[in-house]
Amino acid sequence: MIDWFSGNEGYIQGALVAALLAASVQVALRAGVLSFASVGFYGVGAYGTGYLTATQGWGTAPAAAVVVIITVFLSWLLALVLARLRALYLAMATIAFVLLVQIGALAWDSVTGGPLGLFGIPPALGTGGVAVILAGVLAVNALTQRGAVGRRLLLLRKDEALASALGVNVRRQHQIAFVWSAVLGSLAGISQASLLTVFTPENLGFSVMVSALTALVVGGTWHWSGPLIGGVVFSWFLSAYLGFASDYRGVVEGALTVVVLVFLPKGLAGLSELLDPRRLRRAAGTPTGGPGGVSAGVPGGVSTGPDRPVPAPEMGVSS
Amino acid sequence: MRHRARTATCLLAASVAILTAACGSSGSSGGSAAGDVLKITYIADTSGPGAFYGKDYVAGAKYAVDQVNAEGGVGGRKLDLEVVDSASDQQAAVGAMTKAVKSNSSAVLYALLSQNALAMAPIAQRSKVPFIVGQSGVDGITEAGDYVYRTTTSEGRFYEAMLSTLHDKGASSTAILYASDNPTAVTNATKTIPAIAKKLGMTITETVPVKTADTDYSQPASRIADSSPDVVADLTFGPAVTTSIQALREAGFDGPLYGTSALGAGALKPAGAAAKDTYYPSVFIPSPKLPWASGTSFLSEYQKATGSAPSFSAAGGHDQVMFLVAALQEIGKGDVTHESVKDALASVAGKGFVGATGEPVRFVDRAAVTPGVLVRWDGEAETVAPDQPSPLLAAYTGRG
Amino acid sequence: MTQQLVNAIALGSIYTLFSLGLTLSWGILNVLNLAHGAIFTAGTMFAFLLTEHAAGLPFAVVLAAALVGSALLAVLMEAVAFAPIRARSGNALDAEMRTLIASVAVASIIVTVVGIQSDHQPYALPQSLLERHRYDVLGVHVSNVQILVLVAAIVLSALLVLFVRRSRYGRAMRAVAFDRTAAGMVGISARTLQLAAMALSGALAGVAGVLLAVYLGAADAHMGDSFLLKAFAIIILAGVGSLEGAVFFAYALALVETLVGYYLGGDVRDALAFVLIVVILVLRPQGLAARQGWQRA
Repeated sequence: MIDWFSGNEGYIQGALVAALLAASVQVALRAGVLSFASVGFYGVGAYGTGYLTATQGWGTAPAAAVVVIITVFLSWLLALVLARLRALYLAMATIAFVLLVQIGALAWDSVTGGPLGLFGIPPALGTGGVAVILAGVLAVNALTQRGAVGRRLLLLRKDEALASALGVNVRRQHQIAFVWSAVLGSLAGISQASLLTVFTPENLGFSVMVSALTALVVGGTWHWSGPLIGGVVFSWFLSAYLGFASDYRGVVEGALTVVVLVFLPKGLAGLSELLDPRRLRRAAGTPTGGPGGVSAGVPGGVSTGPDRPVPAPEMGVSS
Repeated sequence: MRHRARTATCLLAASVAILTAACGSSGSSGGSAAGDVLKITYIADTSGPGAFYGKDYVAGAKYAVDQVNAEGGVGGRKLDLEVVDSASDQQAAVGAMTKAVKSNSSAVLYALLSQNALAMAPIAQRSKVPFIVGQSGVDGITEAGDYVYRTTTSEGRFYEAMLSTLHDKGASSTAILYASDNPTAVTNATKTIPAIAKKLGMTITETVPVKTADTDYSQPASRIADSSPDVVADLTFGPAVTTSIQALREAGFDGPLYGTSALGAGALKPAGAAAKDTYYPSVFIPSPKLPWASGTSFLSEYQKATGSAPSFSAAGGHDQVMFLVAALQEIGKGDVTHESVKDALASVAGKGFVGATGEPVRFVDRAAVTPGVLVRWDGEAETVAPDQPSPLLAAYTGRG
Repeated sequence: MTQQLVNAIALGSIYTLFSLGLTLSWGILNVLNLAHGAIFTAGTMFAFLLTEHAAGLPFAVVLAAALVGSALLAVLMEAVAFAPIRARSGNALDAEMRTLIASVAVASIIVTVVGIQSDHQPYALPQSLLERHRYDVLGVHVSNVQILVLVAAIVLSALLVLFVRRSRYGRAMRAVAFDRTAAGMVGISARTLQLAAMALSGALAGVAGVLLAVYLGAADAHMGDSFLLKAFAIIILAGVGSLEGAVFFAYALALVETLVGYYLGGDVRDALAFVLIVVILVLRPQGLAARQGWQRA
């Protein structure tokens, strides 16, 4: 078991970081915020830790603490700036933000090491440390998935106007989600820098955003375990066990993603629900129908049938 | 709700358990390298963007292993080359590396991407496993420690000879176009070339950074052409090579170009005639005019064995294996451990070994130093450039 | 300076061709189609394979084949991925996010296949397909390819604007973008319309890809990526769905980028498009051109 673990440690580390990153996108999405900004803070976290430890000689713990504080501050500012944006427009603005971080990483030689990046970052956290961080994050996410907080998030996501009418401070909730998302992104960056000991501009950018979102959606967008499942599938299984077909990895990933998107609206985490004996019994009695597909008819489910028709782009509402 | 969460957890646990069972058998071996086979793990980017070169590295390595085994192996032990694809992906490379250092391989070899090699080298050093990198434009790689070697010469070292050859042909000024997101290109454009130009008394008319993903080269090209240099350094990669050369020609620059070793192995083919008179350094090209004998004999024997001419990447893969083989021969019938291999590598590095890229391939600070060759693209094929010093690299003093 | 203007016009023409298709799919289908760049790349690959296997075909035939191939690919993507996902999505946010990821997944498939097909190396259309000529006009270099790209951009965008304004399909597209249920009133099903919009978008991407491959001299599997982000900037500047705005801002962005690149350097130029995206979205999310975007009154 120990041999097996150490033999697969590199892949496991990849899965842990991928899961953290996917979780960072998830916590924003749960509140109805489609944001990639956490990937930018992934860069901030990694470069910040790398710079403070490798270049300035700090310990990893104080470096990480400072980096997280900076992340909270910066993401709060960014949340204020982007407050009016929704859906695809917010996605677009945050994609631009991430790419600006990448350009900054290339240009700001004295801190980021330019195109060469930072290396020689002390490997202080280790696989165990990152696993603990991830477990803590997932525990918080699992707890907030239910109860009063969970219901409030669901309401926010489903119907902002209603939430607002019911006394939820929509703007504030969005900001909290945005900052929490950024902090998770930053933690992923701190972990990655510490595990890999190098961080370069190539570790950042468009493909990282895409991987994070893909891992999340395939794993299960609305379930706390989604990021973990997605991270394990993409960064571990597909890296380690594709073998001869690895030239076709992009095809396998793409096809898997499309299949999950079309047939498993709740991602792989939703599989457990499909196999739930009570549900199977119920399904045998009353065939599910409607566009909600497999999710329709699950009481209290987080992604039930259509609550409103798919509308045209909804922007400029406040302008 | 709670029930569902539990089911998900169970499912996850089950999948991990299945996986553990599936992989348990392969993980039980480990520790030191022994027995009548010597295992070598070769991690290479044989798929993804690095695949074009990565596959050739593997072909060269396989050829070398076959040659050695055909002659009875090393100290009566056959070599067993295990190739792992790192898919041009850092996570996959690191994953493969952590796996390889726990296996019973005598050493781990890697090609191709510098970014990946940088992340792998510290793992090798921490686990005390010999690690031989085939190519890395980044000088920092061997700084990881005494278990890390690299078998290709840093390309920047060839630039002085390249520029002075062009200077001898009458070039007194140069402009530089470079990929600002590539560490090697940045170093060579902003440090190496300016220092050499100063030494030779050449003026630099213009230095223009571009990004590899850039699509419009007409603007940088006009800027360079307007400064009317005698020669232009084109330090770009991928499709940008073709695009930038064509843009330079369209902007009115008709003189010779020079650039990185990445221009080799057919990279200039798409540009064709527009790239005529382009010079670049290489550690090896498949030409019978190569100025060292071990290179030309490698060429003819490789061709005989495989039916195709070896690229510089194949020569690189071959030399990675031969470096390790030289160390294993030094150990002879002795105990092959990671420790003994490291010591033997250090001893071989002190003396040099005969490879396709040099006779001998020498080492300075665990990084190879080879004679090198200046290549000229004549519009259709790569040729050994006329009137070049031999060896190209003055610091390489050849035999003895 | 005049030389920079010529360069900017050629670049703007490529931006135009690329952005038009993307603004169609965003405006009409509400899809942030990240596979647009991949379809663009696929267009170059179709052309490349055709010239490999049937040398000597005239340029127009190759261009037409790439157009058809890319259009079919886009339709396939809509039919196999986007439409089923839209049909099964719970709400708008869900649908937008899931089609976005589906487009990334499709892009990954296309880019991987093109990468394997080209051995992960750059590939070039044969020089004989379109002989390059350089003309020196008053000290300014202009190539026949630059002229071709400009003409193609003008003609295609004019045709597209006419189509959307005048034809029954075009009016229905505008209607459906305004209100999902409105298409039926014009007598065309929303389904047909969505497929038509994707076909049109794909066709434009294919044409743009081939023209760009000729203009640049080489292509590779990832060439679409950088255009994708530039095109987003253009669409956002113009306001989503605004065709005339997209044309205008394609040239404007190209000009500004060229000037900034010339005077301030590459890093500032690279950052420019992204800074514009953020600033415009924050200050004037309906875009600069859209007095009345055609997807909302």
